[in-house]
Amino acid sequence: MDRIKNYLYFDHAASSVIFPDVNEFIYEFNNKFTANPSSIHQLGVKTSLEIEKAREKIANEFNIKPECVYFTSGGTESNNWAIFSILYKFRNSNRKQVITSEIEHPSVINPLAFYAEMFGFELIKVKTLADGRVDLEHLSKIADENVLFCSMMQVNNETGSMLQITEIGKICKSSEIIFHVDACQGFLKSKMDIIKDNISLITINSHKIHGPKGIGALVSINQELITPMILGGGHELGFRSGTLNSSGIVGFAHAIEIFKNKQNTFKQINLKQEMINQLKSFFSGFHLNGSLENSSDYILNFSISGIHSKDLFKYLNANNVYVSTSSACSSKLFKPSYVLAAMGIEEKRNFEAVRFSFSPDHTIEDLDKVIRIMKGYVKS
Amino acid sequence: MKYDGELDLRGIPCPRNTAKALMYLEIQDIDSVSLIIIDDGEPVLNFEESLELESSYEIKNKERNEDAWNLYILKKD
Repeated sequence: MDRIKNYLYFDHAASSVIFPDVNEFIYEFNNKFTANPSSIHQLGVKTSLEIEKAREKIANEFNIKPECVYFTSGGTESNNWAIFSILYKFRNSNRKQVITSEIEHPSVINPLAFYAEMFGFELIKVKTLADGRVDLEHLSKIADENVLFCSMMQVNNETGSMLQITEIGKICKSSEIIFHVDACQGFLKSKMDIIKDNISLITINSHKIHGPKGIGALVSINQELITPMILGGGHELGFRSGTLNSSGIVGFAHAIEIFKNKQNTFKQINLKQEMINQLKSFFSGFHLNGSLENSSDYILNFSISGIHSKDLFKYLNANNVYVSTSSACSSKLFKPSYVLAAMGIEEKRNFEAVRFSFSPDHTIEDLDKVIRIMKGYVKS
Repeated sequence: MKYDGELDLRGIPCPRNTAKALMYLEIQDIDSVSLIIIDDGEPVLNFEESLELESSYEIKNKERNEDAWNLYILKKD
């Protein structure tokens, strides 16, 4: 897919390239189902039927009822909604603390800080381990009957580190803390069990799994936990108003199907390990940021001593190789990554950090090409 | 009336109730009868109108169930 175009795209954690099949599917859908899915005429009902099928498909990924899936405009909205719901609903609770990690995406950190202040909660951040996961010992110490809510990401968007969701869920359960997981980078890519892991709310989105942009969902195991944030015509059972993004929703569900089919081949190639091996053998100053064992196959973050990420980024960009130097949302501002800083990585190495993020469509040939180009950096 | 399965759609707004009913009916066996419970008023009227346009289904019986209706639907060949 990426090879047909004249560039190499390794920035799928920022936004993945939509699968051509999904694009086609959406095009066909838009031609066929032009109605508002809230309209009660036959075409509206047919459109609504397609949406309900998509909802069921997504619910099946978590083994939950379709009614637990609420469509949103994406990960940021779902995160904001989960946080607003709980902090607003329980603003008069005796529990006055909320917990998150130091390495969350801004769409969790910022609304948590905002609503915590608005509704009178204290926000506590759990310390980070050198491998990019959270310090469970610290979490165990602070998670008690004073804590209402805990929000943690499944996979970090910058380093790919997989947080210990099962262990965090157990800790939350022991103190009856409501647990939200931002699964934007982990959905379909890493395992998670909403029931066994004691998760109440999950954020997912489409454009990280090669679906269309502008569509995501908030999964809530219990309807009682959510509070409407966008008011209007009462769509999504009155919980999230606004005309449903029909083509986005069906495209999202279709992308799930395709992604799952492609995943096995991708795992067999082990592109991340292969890239590390090749970079290590050529660049003596190669440092992996995070650990290989506890991280996603889809994200690789590394630094090369003596090569500033800004320079490598420019060089790769000029050679039509697209990567990130830090999380996409903040890439216009050149400042050290707060995620890497929380892991204890010193500023020099932090400024040398580059993120490659993969697609199940990537091949060894893509990797060979990019390695060849990177070797050229030293010669240039 | 005897039925093979049931779906309670009370409280689900239009047209999601109809969409959910059609999804449910789609996977039922031919010649089976499903009980669909749906709210009185617009919901039951809209549902019946939608069903009339689907040749595979026939409402065999309809009875009042407090603020809702019980509809017994036969899935045809």
